[in-house]
Amino acid sequence: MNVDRVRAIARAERRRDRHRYAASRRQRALLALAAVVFLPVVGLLLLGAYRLGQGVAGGDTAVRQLARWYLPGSALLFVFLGALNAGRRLLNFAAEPLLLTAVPTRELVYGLLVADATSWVLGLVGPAVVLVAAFAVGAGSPVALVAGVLALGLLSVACLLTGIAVGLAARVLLRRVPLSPSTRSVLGTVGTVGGALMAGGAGALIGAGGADAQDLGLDALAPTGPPPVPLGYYADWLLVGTPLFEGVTPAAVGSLAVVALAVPLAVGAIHRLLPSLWYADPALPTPEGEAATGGRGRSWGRHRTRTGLVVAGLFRRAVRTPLRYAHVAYYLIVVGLLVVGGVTNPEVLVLMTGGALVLLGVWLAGGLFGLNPVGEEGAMLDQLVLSATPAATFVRARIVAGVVVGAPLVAVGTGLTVVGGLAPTDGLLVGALCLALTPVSAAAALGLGTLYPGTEPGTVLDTAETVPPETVAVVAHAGLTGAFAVLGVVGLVTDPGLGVRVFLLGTVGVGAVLLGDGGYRYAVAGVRDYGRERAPDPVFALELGAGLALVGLVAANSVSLAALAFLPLSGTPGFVLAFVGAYAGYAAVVATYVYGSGRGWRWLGLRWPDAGDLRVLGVGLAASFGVYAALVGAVTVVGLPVAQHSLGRDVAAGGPGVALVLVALSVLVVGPVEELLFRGVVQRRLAETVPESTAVGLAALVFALAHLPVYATAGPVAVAVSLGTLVVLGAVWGWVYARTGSVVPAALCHGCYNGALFGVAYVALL
Amino acid sequence: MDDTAIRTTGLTKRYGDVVAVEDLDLAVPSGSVYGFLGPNGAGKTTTIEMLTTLLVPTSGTATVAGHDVADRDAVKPHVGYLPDEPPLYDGFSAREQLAYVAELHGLDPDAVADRIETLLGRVGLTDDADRLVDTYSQGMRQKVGLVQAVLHDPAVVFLDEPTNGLDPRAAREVVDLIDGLAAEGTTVFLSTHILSVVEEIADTVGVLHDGHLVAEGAVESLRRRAADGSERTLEQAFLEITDGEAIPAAEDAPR
Repeated sequence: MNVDRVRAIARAERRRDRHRYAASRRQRALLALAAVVFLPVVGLLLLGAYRLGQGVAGGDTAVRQLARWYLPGSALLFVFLGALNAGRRLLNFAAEPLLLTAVPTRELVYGLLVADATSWVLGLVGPAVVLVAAFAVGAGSPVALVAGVLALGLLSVACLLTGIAVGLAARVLLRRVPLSPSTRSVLGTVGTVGGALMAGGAGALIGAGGADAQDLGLDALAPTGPPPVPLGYYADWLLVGTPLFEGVTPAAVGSLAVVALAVPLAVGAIHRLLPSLWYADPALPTPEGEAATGGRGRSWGRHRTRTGLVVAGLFRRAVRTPLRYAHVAYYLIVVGLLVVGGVTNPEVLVLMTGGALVLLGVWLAGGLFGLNPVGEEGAMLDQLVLSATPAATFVRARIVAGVVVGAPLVAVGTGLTVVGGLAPTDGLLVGALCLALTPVSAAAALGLGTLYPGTEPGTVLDTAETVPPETVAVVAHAGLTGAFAVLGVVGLVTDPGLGVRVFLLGTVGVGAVLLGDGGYRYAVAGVRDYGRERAPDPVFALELGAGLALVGLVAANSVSLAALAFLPLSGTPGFVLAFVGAYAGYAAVVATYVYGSGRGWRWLGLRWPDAGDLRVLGVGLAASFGVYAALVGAVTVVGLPVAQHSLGRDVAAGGPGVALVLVALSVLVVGPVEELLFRGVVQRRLAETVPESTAVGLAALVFALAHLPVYATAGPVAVAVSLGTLVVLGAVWGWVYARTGSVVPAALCHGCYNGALFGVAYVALL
Repeated sequence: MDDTAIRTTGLTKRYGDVVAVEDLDLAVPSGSVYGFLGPNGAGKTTTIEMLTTLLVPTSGTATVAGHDVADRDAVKPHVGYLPDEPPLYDGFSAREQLAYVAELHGLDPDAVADRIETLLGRVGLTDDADRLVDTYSQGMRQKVGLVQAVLHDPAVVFLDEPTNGLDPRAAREVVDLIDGLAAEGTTVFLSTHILSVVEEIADTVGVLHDGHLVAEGAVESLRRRAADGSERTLEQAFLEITDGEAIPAAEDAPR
């Protein structure tokens, strides 16, 4: 066997992976931002692994028991994932005709498997190794690290290969069934969804076996005694180097042998199965007539509007070529798992089914027709652009079609939740919210699908040759709309207190408007301005700016929460950490936009100030303090109420030390980061669409509104006064930026102004 | 509007340092068939996309049917476009596809039905027009694409390799339809590298090579342009023009 050739094939496939999944800077930018937003989750996982390690070091035998019980199930999940993705590369690789005719089969099989294993290791095992490391640190054992990584690596590779073998065997069997290719594909999709749901249902049943849902004590989860599946003893190898390791027992050795043997057996099976799929006769027994269906064409009838015509066209094509929408299987699996989660409890089952249908409705409203408008039109896009029909018609039609699919699902689902025990008024609220979210979901999907168009023909669950939406678009859309639905429902139905409720519903409302309308505008421009520069759209620029501020707020909270929760600091160091962490979140949003939009750092306007800039800075500072003096005057003379910034309470609680720290943070962190975001990005982006002075005003408005949460506890008049002051201050700093064309003077102006206020507080507290 | 259907002045498209089309000056009279010849990668499709407003020129200007191509809305009612891959929807029959596109063009469904049938008949598709286009051969798709491009009776039609991959009979039907369009006064901008088609129906031929227009004129004059004034085939002329070296005439070539 020629090892060099195997490596060359693997390298070529890996290159194709990188090209496909990370080529676009927009994708990389979004992934990085998602990592920032989900930092608390990552931290939580790491902390959990670390605590687990500590428990193991303390001799907590429950960990061993749990691991032995649940390892086989987790392994089964990996096998299922492997089976699902078996054809992704092995039946769809680059330069297929060349490699099939020029390379020995064995080398080709190995090359492709190496490529698959590499991406598997990078994608799943990599993060797992980090968790094992946290576990080993908690256990205080370097041996545990090495043993854990080796044992986990072997297990996942064995599961992947077994899964691939199972998946290929299923495909070979499916080919033996005399069906038309399209029926077979539908069967494959349905089978996949069904398999996933059955696995989930079995998991739920096993989990509930012998245990009340209310009593999830350890005894119920993993009763003492031997695990139900002997393979569970493999878990012992993950505990080598800790007090829980029981030594080299026959059971542990046996399970290791099974896992280790699975590798060559699976490779052998794959090697036998693949050629029969590669060299199979492509003209499978096709029932007569499928290729020559006659008389299927119909006239279009009467459509009152052209939107109606396009909607009719979408549905007609969807019905006739359903496999182009095979990616719907992913949604079905996720919501189906929600349903089977309640399979052991009939009452919960109805409620869960209702909830799942509602979620499915919200998702499919965008997920079906929205996620790849450009790629789906393909070559027809030219014709649409050159037709007499406005671009907005095509986008609106996809929204209408999405709502037609999603709204009934939401309605039926809501009805079921009420049957399942949700109070009717609550049901009405949930239904209304989620119905309102269906067009939002559709428009958001269209925007995301235009931003991340899927243009490469590919396969979904390797059933159908189609142009599926980009994974990034699918995940981002499902995540955002799912979050809106869940947060909205929590805000409506639970009783989180008035403040939290207003915050939740406000966030959902503002987010939905920004994402929905912004997505709509972006999608329309994608068709209208196809092949040329996008026409400036001030409303979109404003929505983008506000959206970035909102995402910044979320990222800031995430990073600050993660920093506080997972780093052992308290008091002033903890305060500084949380503070800097929050601003790191804002900075991450700035970096994401500048990088992702391809505008580049130069665009921000970072320039060392010259003498002229310093003069503008002086004027800006004088104006800032003038605004402050006017506010103080109005408050003392007229008795205007004013809201206290939440940092004011921190200073009051922390004393002069905190005030002094805040002076430094204002100049070094607050000024630079806020000015980069609100002036460098928001105002600059607005100025591409409206006159500079309007951009200054609008950016100042966004800047002030972004501060709403820090004043949230005060009365409405006081909040208005405080925000009004911020609008004026934002305009002053926006003027400094516009005048100098550089963020630096504006950052200095903002930082010195804030610093001065804290300086005064410091002096007052002394 | 003057009698020039397509006029370009210094039309240029660059992708970074790569020049796709440079300094192109064209004047295509209304109602004529312009054969746009050139080897693969010469910039033919880039030129067509600029003229149909689908691509923004780096510099230079162009008007189509009297309208600046920078103004997409003004240009689009007057142009039809058949790209090299005929753009059709899987899941539609040919009749559905054509009726759908006709409505997108704002045509009255009843009024256009006859025109669709006439055009389908001229390319020999009447009997197959209710089958889904997914089941069509390349030639049938090409013919539906051509009908689609001329459905709204545009003043100027851009055809990118319309006879690509067609068998002789299908190619004949397509060429006849193009000929008929020209006879009705439609300006046809025909990009191809199949010389016999150009030889048959083009009034004027332009040869594009590496983004430059290296020769232009009537087919006859191109044939006669050999250094010694002797008669050549269009193929010989084409090879000579795009190679920069004289190709010996067939009878002089070493056997």
